[in-house]
Amino acid sequence: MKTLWKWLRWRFVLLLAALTPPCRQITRIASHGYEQPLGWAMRVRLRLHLMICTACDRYLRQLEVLHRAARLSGEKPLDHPSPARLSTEAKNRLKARLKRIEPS
Amino acid sequence: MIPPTDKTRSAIEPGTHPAGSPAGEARNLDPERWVDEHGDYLFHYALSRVREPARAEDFVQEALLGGLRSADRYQGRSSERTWLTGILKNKLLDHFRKAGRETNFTDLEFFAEEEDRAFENQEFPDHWNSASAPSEWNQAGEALDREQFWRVFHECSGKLPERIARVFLLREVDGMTGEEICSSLNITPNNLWVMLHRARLALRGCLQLNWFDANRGQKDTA
Repeated sequence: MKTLWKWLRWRFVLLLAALTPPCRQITRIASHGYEQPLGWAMRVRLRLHLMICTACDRYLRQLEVLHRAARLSGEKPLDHPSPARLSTEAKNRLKARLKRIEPS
Repeated sequence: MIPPTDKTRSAIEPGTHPAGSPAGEARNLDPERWVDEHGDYLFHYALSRVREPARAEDFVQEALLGGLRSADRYQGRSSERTWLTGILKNKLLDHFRKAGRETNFTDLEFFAEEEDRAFENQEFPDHWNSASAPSEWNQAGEALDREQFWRVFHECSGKLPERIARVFLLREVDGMTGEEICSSLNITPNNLWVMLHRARLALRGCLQLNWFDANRGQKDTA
């Protein structure tokens, strides 16, 4: 009984896998979804795929983290240590140049 | 380029820098203070988009000069930093637009190989293989509060090929629309989508490797 159930489940997974786009397409579609609303048929195929694919399910959730992180990094990038800073010399250089331009 | 107007000129009085505020002037134009307060921010913004420190510094200078020239149009509605960043962004876009003609897509080709490797699977073609499949991200929400995460995040976006990073930053960090980016950079929507997709794929992989996998097991001590 248990093996039959297992077998049936595996058939179901294979069926859905055959009906939905491969993971490679899914990652493209997911990214595309950030640019344009997906059609309902595409959304259904996406959902069906996620039912049987943990990896893609994680991928989509992690894209969302990435999306949020990117937004945040623009809002408060210097609240955390920035990897790139102007050296004191560079700052003095900039100030000197700006001074030269200022009308006297 | 906006030519300096008389109003701008009168707003800057010699000998009042750095802290002096010309009497009767509502705005205190102090580019030296801009350098101190916003220099790092603007530099980081430019550097993440042009990659060369010397060029980034030039762009910061241009933006500050632009700010000086157009100061009379600054209404104070946005913060000074937002205003200066806007000027810097436009300078960069101008530059990208001019350079756009030379765009080649070797970057994209390189990334196509990465994608191929992620979905190289004998048994189920075009599905993740065991090495590339995303693993669980623990406490992803909390990561965004950690300083170290942001260091990794910037390092990862710094590893993207320059053009791909540029497109990703304009879209996801600056929040420009796809149409705006396409017309600014003179690329097709299809190209934009492919670049964004590859950027996401690579960034996710980099964060996985350098943050989430690296932190696994250290969680309890952190």
